[in-house]
Amino acid sequence: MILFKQNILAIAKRLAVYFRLSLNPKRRPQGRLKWFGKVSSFIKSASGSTVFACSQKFLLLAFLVLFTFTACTPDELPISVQPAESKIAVASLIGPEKLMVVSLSRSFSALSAEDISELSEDFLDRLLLDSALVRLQYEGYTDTLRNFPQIPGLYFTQLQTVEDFLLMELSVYDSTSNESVNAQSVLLPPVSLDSAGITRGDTSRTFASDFGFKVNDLPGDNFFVVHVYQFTPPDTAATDSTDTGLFFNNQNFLIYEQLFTDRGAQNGIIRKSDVLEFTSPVDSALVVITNIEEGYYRFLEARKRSGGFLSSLANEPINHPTNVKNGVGYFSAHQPRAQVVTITYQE
Amino acid sequence: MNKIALIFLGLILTTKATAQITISGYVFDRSDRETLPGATIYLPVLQMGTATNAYGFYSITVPDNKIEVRLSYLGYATKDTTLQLSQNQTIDFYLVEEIGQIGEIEVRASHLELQEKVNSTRMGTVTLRPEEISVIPTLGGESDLIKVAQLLPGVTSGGEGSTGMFVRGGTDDQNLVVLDDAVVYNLSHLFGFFSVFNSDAIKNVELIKGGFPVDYGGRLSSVMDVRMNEGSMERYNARGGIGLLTSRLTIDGPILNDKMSFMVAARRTYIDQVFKTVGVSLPYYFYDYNVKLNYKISDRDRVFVSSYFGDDVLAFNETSESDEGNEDLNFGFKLGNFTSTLRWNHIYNSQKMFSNITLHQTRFKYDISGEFIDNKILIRSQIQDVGLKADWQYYYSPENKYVFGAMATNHYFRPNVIGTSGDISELVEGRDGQLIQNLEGAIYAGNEREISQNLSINLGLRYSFAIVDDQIYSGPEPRFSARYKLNNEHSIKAGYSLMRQYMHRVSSSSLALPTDLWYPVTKNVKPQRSNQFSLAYTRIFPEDQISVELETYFKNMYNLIEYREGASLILNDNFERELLAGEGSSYGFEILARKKTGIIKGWISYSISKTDRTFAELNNGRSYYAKYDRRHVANLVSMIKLSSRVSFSAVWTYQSGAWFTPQTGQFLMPNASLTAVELIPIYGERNGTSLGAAHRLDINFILKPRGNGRFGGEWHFGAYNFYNRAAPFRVAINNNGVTYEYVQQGLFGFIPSIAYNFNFSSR
Repeated sequence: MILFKQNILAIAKRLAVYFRLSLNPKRRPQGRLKWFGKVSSFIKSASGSTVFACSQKFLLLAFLVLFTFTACTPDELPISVQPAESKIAVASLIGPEKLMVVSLSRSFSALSAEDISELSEDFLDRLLLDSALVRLQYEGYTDTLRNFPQIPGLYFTQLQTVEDFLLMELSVYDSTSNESVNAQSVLLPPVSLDSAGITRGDTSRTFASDFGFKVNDLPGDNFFVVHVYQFTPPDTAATDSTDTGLFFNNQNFLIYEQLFTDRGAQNGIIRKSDVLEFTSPVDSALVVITNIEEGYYRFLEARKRSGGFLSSLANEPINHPTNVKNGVGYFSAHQPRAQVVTITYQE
Repeated sequence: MNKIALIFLGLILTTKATAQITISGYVFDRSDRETLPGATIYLPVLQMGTATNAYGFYSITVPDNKIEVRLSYLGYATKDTTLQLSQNQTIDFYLVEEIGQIGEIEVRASHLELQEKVNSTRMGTVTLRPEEISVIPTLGGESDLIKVAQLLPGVTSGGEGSTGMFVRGGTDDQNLVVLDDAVVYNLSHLFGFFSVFNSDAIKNVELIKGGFPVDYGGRLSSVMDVRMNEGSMERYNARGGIGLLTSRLTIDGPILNDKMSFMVAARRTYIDQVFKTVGVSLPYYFYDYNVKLNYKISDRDRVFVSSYFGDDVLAFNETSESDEGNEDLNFGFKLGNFTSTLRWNHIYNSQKMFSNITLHQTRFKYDISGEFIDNKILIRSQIQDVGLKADWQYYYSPENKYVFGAMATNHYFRPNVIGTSGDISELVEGRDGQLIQNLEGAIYAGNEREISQNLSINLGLRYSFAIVDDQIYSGPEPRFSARYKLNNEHSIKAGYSLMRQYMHRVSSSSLALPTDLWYPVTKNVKPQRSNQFSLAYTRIFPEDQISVELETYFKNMYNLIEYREGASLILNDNFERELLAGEGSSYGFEILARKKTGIIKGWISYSISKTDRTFAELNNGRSYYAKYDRRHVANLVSMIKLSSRVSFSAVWTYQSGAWFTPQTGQFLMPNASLTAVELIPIYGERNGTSLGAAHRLDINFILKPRGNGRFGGEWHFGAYNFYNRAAPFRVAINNNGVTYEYVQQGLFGFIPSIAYNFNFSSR
């Protein structure tokens, strides 16, 4: 295609010279046919290829069509777009040992020249809030969250209590920008897997496995998220299927996330099944199930809809819901429960 | 509602019988015997008149047996004749085309046509004829009906070069486009750059934006009624054109002299063939055919059969070598319309009643197919309509005309059929798609009458319904328009229309797919509805042959649909889950100053309008601008006859920027286990950012070589986007070294064009 365009440009340039000469009355060919013949023979000589070895009329037609498609491209015009105001972004979870973890960063302009794909240290330093005053109020307690050592932007506290339906209020003050945000979340009761099974049978589908699980439903309308991690047990330490400390193991890749509700539950049991795609032939997987608020469910749903190459190409733009006043992100006091599931093989 | 029905019945019952003799018939072109819709029949002594309907039929009842008749039609010699009448009778009139004449004859014809503008109760209606369409410069020198319609006030276009039409704040799917009474669903070829209408096959086009007649329905915003040529009863004609992108040929003529005629028109691109000669594979082409048969059974009965068939085809094939042998990759699509119409026109014995009964069929289908090694995928979507429409027009007296009729159309929708084989079937499950059947129908009646010399009203009631599964939607659609004539040169008009639409087209706000889905009303998807009020002032300047129309409107729209934020548009078999219902409103003011005769012809139009949408689940429930809400639109269309052989036409168009939703921010969000971060986009206010204004100048020189008897030809030398301004086609993000910036990219810059049109007649 590039070669084609170069060829056309070369022809066009030489043709322009020809036309300039032909405008000179002394050099102008006499009669229409002479002019036509000269143009055609010129095209032939300019191309020097057998491609043009066809009738003169058709050649001229071909040239005109090609000229149309290689015509001027108009200059781009700038569009005035006001970048979004930078806001504090909140994310959270309750990990093992009643550990409430809150992540704080700043949103930034979509038109920033930063190379987002690299996420350089310098860039992250500017985004992550490591000197904010973060407080959590619940059941008469007020905890001030502390920075994780050497992990800027990550704050934690060990909750005094984790009673079901506890109202938790988060407030953040960033003295650098003199901004504050706050949010509320209800601590929903954790939910455990009734059973889960992963079966690998069809060897033609590389590392693909059938996944099924049952969850005991809770009263009322409930919203859940299930995650499956490709699980590589630590070399040392015996594996305890309830040891959620494995949750933070960077070797355990997240390979599956699914949001679901209790709609369609039968006799208090929710059954789901799907196919997992592992990236290597592991023997076990970590299945994490979390009971979440509807608002957070909507947030995760939006994130899922807007993720992926196909989504960015063809889906409608989406703004993620938030419960953070003056900020973005989502503050959710959810309690994940994890279980290691051994993969069984079928002949 | 009951009050409206009572008023309507009252009008019927208070009709007075004053007429004595009725004459009726058709007005024809003398040379071809093609009917002339909109021709004026004027009785100067009695100071009354009428115009032929869309089929060229007229009926007039007079109180005297000796009458003087003046017949006129723009471009034809005005004919004066005296008739001695003794009883009701059928009289056909023949007018002679005045080629290349600019003078008193044309001016007289124009006078009557202008007068009709003042006298008519019709509002927001513009008629276009092929001779106008063919000289207006367009992209690539291809004359294009839709592109010309986009130059009328109240009509805005989509992206650059597209055939999308957005009329008075409506959406693209709210335009009822009919070709010989059959609905055309897909209006474009080449991803929207060319319309499906071959201008050589078109006889007449009427665009209605408000004050809708009662016999039209099913869409909220506009009606574009396109009529095909019927074919000459007298001689064989051939006409066509050779352009840079397409060539076309139309042949028509008699089959049985004065009884039966035919018309066949064909058009095809040869981009693929030309590129092939230089070794470049561009495996795309489109083609279309128009066919029409016209059979005159008797003076009272005529039958027409017409059909349109057209496809866009892309067929990409590539073979690559690998260790395992040759691997074939095939990808392509085929999308197109097929319409067919069987029409019977009948004049009843009373000479006062005319009927048009139409059986029509429409099919729109697209197939997208891919094949790689042993994997195959086919995605298909299809709509098929079969319908019957019967209209009666009763010309009780020159002051009093009734219309009534009924229509029923069965729609078959099968969106998103997916067939797969090979490994891909594990990723994409094949499915037959859901077959949705929907019966849409309506009955209607209307009365147009002159209450006094100054006041005329047009009152109608349409009752429409749609049945889908066990759900029935129905409702009345009252229509009203009135004209008050201040004097022979000024009139004011007012109108109201309630419209219902029983199908939607769902399309992405961010992506222009040629495969947007038409979707019928279902139990969960309600019909669209609109109320439109309009007020107009018409002024004519007979000496200068200019008409000026000022019109203002207000329109409310209900049950509009949009995709939910983040909706998945590809391979989605459950669209209903992704659809949201909301409301819209639009108001605006339009000016159209038009001159149809003389050395300089053309029009100037301007419109200022505002259109918004409100959806509870979009933009946090706040109203936002419709995507193609363009605040100011101005068009200047001029056609100048420089000499008998040379003419020049130019179009300058200006449109305020359309709207889009930019991503303005982003933030990092850890995943559920805080083991990785994801980038979450932040978008600004929905449609909250305006693109730059689009303006463009197109020019066209027409040179007619010296005449050669029955053979005629003309060269068109044109240029699109003469001053090379980028009209927004798409939005991109550029890195300027310091920061990123949004830019609007134009698709076509300055593009010269050349085309040759010819015509040949056997006599």
